[in-house]
Amino acid sequence: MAEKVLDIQNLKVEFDTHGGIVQAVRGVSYSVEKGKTLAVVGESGCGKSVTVQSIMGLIPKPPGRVTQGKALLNGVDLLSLSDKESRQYRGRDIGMIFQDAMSSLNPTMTVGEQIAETLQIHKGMSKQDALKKAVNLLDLTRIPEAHKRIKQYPFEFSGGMLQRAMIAMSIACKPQVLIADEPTTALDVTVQDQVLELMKDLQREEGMAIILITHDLGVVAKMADDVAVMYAGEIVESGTVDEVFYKSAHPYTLGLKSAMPSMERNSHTGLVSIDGTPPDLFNPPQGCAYTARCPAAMKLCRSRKVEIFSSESGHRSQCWLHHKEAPVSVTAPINRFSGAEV
Amino acid sequence: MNLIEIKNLKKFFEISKGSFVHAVDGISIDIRQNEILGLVGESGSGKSTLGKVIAGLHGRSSGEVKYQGELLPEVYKASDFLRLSKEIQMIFQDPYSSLNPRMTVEEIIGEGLKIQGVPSAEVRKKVKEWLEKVGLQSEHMSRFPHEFSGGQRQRIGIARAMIVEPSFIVCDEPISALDVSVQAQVVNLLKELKDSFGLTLLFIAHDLSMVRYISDRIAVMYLGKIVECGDADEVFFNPQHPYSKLLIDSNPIADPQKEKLREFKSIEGEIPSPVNIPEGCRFAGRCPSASEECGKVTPQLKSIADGHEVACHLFK
Repeated sequence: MAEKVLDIQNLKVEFDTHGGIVQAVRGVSYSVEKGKTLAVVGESGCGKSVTVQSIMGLIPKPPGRVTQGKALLNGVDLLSLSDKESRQYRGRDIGMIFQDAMSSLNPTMTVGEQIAETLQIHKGMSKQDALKKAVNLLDLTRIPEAHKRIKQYPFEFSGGMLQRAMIAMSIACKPQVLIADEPTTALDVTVQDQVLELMKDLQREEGMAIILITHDLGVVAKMADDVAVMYAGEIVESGTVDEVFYKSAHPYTLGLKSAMPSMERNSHTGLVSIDGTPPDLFNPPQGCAYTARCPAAMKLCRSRKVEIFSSESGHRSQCWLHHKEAPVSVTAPINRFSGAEV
Repeated sequence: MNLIEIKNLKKFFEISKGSFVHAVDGISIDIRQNEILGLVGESGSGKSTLGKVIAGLHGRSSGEVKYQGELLPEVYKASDFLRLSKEIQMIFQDPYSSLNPRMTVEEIIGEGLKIQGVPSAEVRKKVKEWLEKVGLQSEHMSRFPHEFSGGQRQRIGIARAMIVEPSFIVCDEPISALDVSVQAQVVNLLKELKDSFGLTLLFIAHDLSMVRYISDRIAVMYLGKIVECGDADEVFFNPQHPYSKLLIDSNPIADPQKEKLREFKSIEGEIPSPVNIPEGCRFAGRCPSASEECGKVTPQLKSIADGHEVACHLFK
């Protein structure tokens, strides 16, 4: 078993709103190993971003709060630290890149200054040294003419270049974990490919762990070693990328897969959508949150909180169909675990 | 039968005196009756501008657009919109900003008919009908756009376009802002509507797998020009233009084993500025197989197989 760099345990996050309390994250656990990539997939509003934002201390408190759970970075629980204490880990040991590079960077500072800022704060470098290092970092992320580019402002960069600059910033202190929240959603496929390849190369060189948040199963297939599928604030399935894609063990994962167009010639029909919408997290359902949209839902699913079942290899699924007494007559083409354990 | 015929269409935007963005720079393409033509390309390639010119939202700089044989006006006047919006409609990318937040769903969907002078009782009936056809309920009529999810708003946008019963719809990235599961809902709905109403669609998108799935033919755009056009499966599975090949290869496939085996080098660089258009082939600067000729002579679209056209000097 490789070492877990970041280990999130039973995290719960809620927000106060005018309409009541939203339970955005309802008991999420996942971990990522050194040099590996964990992809977190799910629809908008499923809590995949809130999970990582709460680890990074990025959710506004109030209205948000973490009500339960741990986030262990090499054994240190980031959530139990004070803001000041956790600041030395955030940005140094965990780097983060965001979806919208244009609005994530400061428009009034040059790109070079923004990269240098990280180094000045965490490594105590002088501004001059930090700017020199910033040139190296831009080179590393394959931005041409880096020495000129560091003097430019974000608006002078294209979307792909900005995303590279943000990657340069996030890896400035050689973090052990890089969190990438939909890093390529706003980019064209060609530029997406460049950015993803860059992340892979950097991972090979620096051995960092990556948590990649995305809703694109193509990106998951390209990048991930492990996958966690999130739905309505919970992880419904997790395992290696091959397990989740080829031996899907949760009806929601299957649903996501069949909502993607097939890649065969002459197949222009058969796209199956998931009808309905995710449940209201003001008042999450008692049983399984996917029941209302699930083609294989049973009576039990509505009323009883689902347990997490696990195969021998560690492939986990939060679905009653894995229970040894689940009726075989219920037709769902999921891979049922034999000898599943709770 | 061609519903739309476009000849040497150009649309330039002046950004300062004497300097132009060549958004659409000499495009000739026909759109056949009852087909879905997919239009793909990177951002900045001019695909949305082309769609907007066809729908009359932008005037054109030169060239021709014919609808059912009739030459459309260069710049639309109010009377042209009144007449042509019954025939040509548009569905927009962003279901959040394309619906007026201060209008109810009934007002939004019914506006087209109201402008045409249809009596309000009739409009109301039609709005009800269309809400149900796109999978919403008639009690949604009195609500405002903010009360709906992204997928539902896109359905409102579709109902708004469909209510005048047009024969041609420009769909400008209609699914880009939606989740995967919802994308499938909207794509299936568009396909159904196309079949039951004999619609013709121009489907602009950058999600290549979805474009292949929904389209009959695909046109690939690069920097204001069409570089390849043909049967959807041919263009997707057997692309010939070096740019189409690279574009399609950059599209990650949702299959981990295939992704692991794939050997593909990312395309270098980014799309150049449409202000100073390079001479010769526009793709030459990024093309792995560019020769001297490519830097000088602009390649024209040539037929290389039945219905498959490519603009590249590799094909003589």
